Amino acid sequence: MGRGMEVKPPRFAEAVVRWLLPLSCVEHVLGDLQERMQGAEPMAARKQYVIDAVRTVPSVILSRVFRRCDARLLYLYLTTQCVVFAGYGLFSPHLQGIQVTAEILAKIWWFTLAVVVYQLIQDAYRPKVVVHPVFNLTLILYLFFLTTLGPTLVAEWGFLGIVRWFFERFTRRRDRRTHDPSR
Amino acid sequence: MPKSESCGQFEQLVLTAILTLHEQAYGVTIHKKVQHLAKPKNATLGAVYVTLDRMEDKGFVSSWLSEPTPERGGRSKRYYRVEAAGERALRESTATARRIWDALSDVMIGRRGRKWGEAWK
Repeated sequence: MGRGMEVKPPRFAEAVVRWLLPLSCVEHVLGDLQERMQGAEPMAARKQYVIDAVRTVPSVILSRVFRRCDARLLYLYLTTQCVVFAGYGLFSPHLQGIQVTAEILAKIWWFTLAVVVYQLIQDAYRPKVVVHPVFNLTLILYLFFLTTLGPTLVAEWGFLGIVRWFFERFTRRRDRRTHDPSR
Repeated sequence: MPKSESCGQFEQLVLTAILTLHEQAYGVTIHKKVQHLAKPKNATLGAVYVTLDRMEDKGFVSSWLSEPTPERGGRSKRYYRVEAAGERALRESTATARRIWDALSDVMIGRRGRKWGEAWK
């Protein structure tokens, strides 16, 4: 095959790029990669395509992650995940009787970070979320609570104490409902 | 005077590339132009995409998809255009670079004589 003839990109590489890229970038990035490989010998062109793809795709995904990342939502993710994991660690029937130590809490943090990173990458593939003003206000109040009242309560009761308090309230109310003879 | 965001050196290169390419500014052509402007440094296509994304968020450039073209396997091109904010940022950066150059020229002339300073121009 000589110069000037159209060279098709490697099918596997193209499929991987198509699978990895966010939908809004697929069309023009694949087109650009294909245009750049034209004019070279087939083998060199395919090699060029793979090299370009390896250099380009991670940058595009990272750029999307940073563009979609919202500091408030990131904070919300972190606190929610932490509470969920800590709650599970404390109240799961499989883990009853296990004393929650600093080491276990550190492991919870690693899990939390892993889930948050996963969520951030997932966000890069979704259309940009426009936060509703009411939700925005609620979020601001929630973050205000966490950053002002939260540390005081944590210092007073400890983080796990707060989780336990919420859990106990919930279970007590449920028990009252089930065992109340007047009902 | 409206407050404008500043732009970095790579952003200046990309903005200049888009402005010089007029109606033909899309990923591949912008990358070629940036590589030419940035010589001897090498710029990757990924870096150009990241910068274009960032500048779109800042409102420096806008983009739109063209009709599919057969030479690209029936895929569209994403064309870019410099907006007023981008032009303003580029003008400010160029003015700053010129001031630095003037100050530097004065120092060089003072140190090594007028002839040497002229050679720099």
